[in-house]
Amino acid sequence: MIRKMIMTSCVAGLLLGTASQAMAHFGMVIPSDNIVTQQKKSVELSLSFSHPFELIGMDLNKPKKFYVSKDGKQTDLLGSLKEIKVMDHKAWQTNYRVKRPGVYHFAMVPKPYWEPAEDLSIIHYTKTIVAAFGADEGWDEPMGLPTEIVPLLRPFGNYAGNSFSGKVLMNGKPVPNAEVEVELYNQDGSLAAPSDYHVTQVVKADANGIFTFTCPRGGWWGFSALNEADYTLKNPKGEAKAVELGAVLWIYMDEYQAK
Amino acid sequence: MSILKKCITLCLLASVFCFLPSVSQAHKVRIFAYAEGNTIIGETAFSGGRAPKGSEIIVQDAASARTLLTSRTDDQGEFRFPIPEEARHGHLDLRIIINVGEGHRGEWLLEAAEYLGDGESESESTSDQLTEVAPASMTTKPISTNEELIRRVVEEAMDKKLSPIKRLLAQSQDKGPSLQDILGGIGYILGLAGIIAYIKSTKGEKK
Repeated sequence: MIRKMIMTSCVAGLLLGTASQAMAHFGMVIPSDNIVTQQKKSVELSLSFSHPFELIGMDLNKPKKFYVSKDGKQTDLLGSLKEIKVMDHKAWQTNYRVKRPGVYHFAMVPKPYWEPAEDLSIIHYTKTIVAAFGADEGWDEPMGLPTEIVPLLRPFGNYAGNSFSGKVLMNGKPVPNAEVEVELYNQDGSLAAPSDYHVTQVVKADANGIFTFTCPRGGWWGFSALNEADYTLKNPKGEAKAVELGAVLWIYMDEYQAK
Repeated sequence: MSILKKCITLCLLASVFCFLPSVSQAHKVRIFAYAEGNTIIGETAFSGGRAPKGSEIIVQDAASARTLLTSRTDDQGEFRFPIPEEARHGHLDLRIIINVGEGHRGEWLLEAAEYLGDGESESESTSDQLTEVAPASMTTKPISTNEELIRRVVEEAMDKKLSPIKRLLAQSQDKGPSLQDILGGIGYILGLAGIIAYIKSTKGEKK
């Protein structure tokens, strides 16, 4: 009897221990492709809220906003979202047919996510950029989100091993020394990290809010700059709590192809 | 005399080299075409967005590579031509080629199904009607009054002055273990103590 109790406490203790490892949440907007060509004129986008390397999902309620912006013109796509499962949790999907050449910025504004473990609400303004039919202008424009990462490396047509640079903005202004979390979307689950540090990597921006990170392999890379909002939101109990604002950008790194 | 000759050759060589860079610039040219009613409309651009002006557009039957017509781009790099009767009747897929010379060529395949509009155009028009969202930009508000201008200037100045203080405040809030850290710590202690107790208890039993 005593032995059983001891065993249980052992297991419970170890479980509690692992739970304390900080896991990075990432808003995710992942298109089927970030380059649209004549052969494939539409993109399927899936929206989720997850730990992309460990493939642990959380429920994403229907976002507050989801839209696409091209040359500063915005088109609402919220109505086209269909509920799906990503990593066994509630997520959303849509199919977008690209009609004209251009650089398309997709943005998701989620409803605040109450995270009791961190005692705060999380809002990740999440975006990704898709280029269509050879157009290459406008990828360096901010979308005007409350916080966002504006790419300094053209965010399409890159190789694994390229360095990504971006500028962190909050209310349109650069965020000096912003901390940026970086995670690879371990899409097929084939990769393991040597340690928990490797799951979420961290890079800091300079005094102008500019950071650089070299992506060591192909795939979808998520960059998330986290800052605390200058306002509070009520938790489910009605208490005013801090809000974590995330500026999340997803970019794709390709491998060289054999001839 | 020979010196003069040398000078001329040098000048010639130099001028050739001057021209070379403009020729070998790695600007790719792109082309895109779609149908609107009876007209095929196309747009072209060099990478970076510059428009090829007055460039030749060749329209071919994609299957036979026979040229149906030629056209030219306007100052915006755009072109338009009525759908050729022959193409419409024969349901020909059109290969539309831009030739800007210097080895730069781009092409676009406009399939018959696309310009003959078999229902596809309908779905497109509905997606065109999607509501436009007001831009969320905070930076591009038009300034209507002097008062607003002053408020903005003051705000900007305050932001600048207060940002180090804000940063300090944010830093001081970040420190200290969270509830989860503490729980995790307790968990580790319990777990380790449990393992020790378990080992001890099995040893005890053996004796």
